[in-house]
Amino acid sequence: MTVRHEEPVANGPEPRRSGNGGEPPPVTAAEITEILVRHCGLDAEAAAAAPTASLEKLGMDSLALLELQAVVSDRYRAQIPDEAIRLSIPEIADLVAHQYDPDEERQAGAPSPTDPAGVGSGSPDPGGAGSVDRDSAEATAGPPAPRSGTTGRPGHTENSVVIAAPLDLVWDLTNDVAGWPGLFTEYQSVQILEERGDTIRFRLTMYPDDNGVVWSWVSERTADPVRREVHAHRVETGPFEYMRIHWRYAEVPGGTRMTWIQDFEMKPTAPVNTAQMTDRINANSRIQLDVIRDRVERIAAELAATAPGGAGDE
Amino acid sequence: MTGAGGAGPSSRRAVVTGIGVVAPSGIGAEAHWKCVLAGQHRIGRITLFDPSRYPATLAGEVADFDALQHAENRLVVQTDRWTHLGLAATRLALADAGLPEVADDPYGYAVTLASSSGGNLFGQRELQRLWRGPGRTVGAYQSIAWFYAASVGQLSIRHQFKGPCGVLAAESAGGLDSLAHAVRLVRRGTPVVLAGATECPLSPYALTCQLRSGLLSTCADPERAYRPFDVAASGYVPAEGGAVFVVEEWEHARARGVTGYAEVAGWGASHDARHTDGSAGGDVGQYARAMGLALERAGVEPSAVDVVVPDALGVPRHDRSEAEALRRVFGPQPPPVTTQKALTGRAHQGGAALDVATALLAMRYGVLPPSAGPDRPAPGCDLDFVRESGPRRVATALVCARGFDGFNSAVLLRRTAG
Repeated sequence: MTVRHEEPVANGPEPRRSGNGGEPPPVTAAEITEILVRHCGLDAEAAAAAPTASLEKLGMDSLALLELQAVVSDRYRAQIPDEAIRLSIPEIADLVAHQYDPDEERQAGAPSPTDPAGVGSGSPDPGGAGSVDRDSAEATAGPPAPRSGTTGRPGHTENSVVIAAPLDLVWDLTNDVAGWPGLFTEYQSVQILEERGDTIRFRLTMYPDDNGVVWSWVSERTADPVRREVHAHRVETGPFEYMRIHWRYAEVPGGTRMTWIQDFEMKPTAPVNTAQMTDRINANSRIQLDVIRDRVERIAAELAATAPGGAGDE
Repeated sequence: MTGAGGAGPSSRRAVVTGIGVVAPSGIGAEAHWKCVLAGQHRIGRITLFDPSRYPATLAGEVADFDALQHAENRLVVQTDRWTHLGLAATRLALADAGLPEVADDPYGYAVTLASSSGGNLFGQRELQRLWRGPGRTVGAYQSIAWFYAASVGQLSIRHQFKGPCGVLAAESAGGLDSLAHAVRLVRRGTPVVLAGATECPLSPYALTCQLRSGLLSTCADPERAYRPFDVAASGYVPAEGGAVFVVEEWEHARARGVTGYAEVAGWGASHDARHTDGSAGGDVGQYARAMGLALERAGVEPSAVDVVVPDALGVPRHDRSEAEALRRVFGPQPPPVTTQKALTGRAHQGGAALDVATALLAMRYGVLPPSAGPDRPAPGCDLDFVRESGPRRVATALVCARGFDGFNSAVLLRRTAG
């Protein structure tokens, strides 16, 4: 069920050519234009006359963007952020092409998060399931999505990132729970409740979601500095039967690989099923891992610049 | 409020000054009128989807309807076909009335159409997308396209009609209730009110809902499937389309030199207080009461009614009860009866509105269109059906409609001078 069976309209901006070897990109501006005309009511002539105009300038409103997000999610398994309203059609095609893998085989029945920025569920202490509830209720505006396995179907994800920084630094920064609000983009605050040796119990509080709801829960983690791994779990499990996270760190060429392995099971009453949560965690982990990598690398660069005998020294 | 001159609420009169038809009989009042005068059958095999898996395969469709000729793409993608038909009919009605597309006095204009099933095609498509599509998404416009008020809301925005807008939901009878409500709004001080209805009950889902009622004809012969009042009556054939009217305060119309087609002089509505099932053809007493109320409100004696346009469901027990209700109101010899539903199919509330258009045009031209059947009236249905068109005195017309699950309505139209 991709766009391949439908002919893109002939008008609209020229398809973008990708830089590597002249291969046509998987998603063209013409395809995005076709979606906008057919599904969102874009005036095809106006779009052809102003190929670099933003969606906003072309008269597309928030409902039109919502429709575009839904169709793009269906066809390309790609997410477009709300900010895309200020992007041009070629820029959106670029954004989608970047995410789209025609050969990718994904688990059927996975939902498209309506909040592509993601809320929490991918981070090592997923707490966004409550907001997933609200998202899915709004997105479907009707009967709840079928649950293909609420209990007895454990979920498992594994996501990692390579950070160009020494393992010790990565370890120290990512285990400084009090500093998480500055490391992740989704935590508003953290409150340390108890510390016993290498075990820490803390309350995480997210930024308000689109509905103004603030999600918060208690987790506990135990670090093993010798084996360079951490075992954590949610104490307040929320929509999960259980949620365990295993952090692993390893020295690799070019820096440190940090890996999150999450094992969980949804409650029968949870608003999303295991497949849906798996998708959310994978999507959001990517975002948060990239954010953490960038921040740790920036700190590493600053430290290198100021360290005695470092690059700043004559 | 606006433009009503010195007339007090109870003395304000409402006349129809514009007709917009979008129906199987044609697009535009003239096309419709030619079709009914010529008695052309417009029922055919359903083309909006493949009906071969369904026991009923016929419908009245609006041939060659291109929504983009009547509304911009932006609006078309956000709305159901039933709304597209309403958008087109409204523009035609405004043009016929000689009124601007965008209200010059927004609060002096309102729109109050009838609806009873909402955006069937849009809704079915989006729910299929939800359950079939890999992303499990439903279109963003589903939220505003399916529900009964969608047409009214879009019209209000498009034409800047900011007076008291609303939706009448009384199944087929709603097409008449909408006119009655328009008169109420005129009396309360809104000089221009859009009334009427369209419908598009032609998706697999919508057809299935109608099949469930047991009232649909399953005959496959387009000219013999829908035969109201006939011995061979076997149910109705669904149709899309309908009509929209400009209902205008009399002084407001006169001030701009318009006399209009007819005054909406009286109306009545009643309810059977029971569901429609296979055992009865509706409550004769309640239906007669709705007709009587319309006459009484208009101050018209039964003997002064020139023509009756009946509901004509085409289900024997309902046809019999309708004929019986007419005899209760009019005595053993009711006035001439004419129905064209056998030509177009039954567009539910849109069909009742279409009957009003036919009555208005009959008054305008002083001609009664021939009734499309019955060839052989069923026992108890031997009414004075108009057999040949010709010049007739048509100063008053009673249009009747019944809605599924017990709605009964009637509207009395009185020709305006000129």
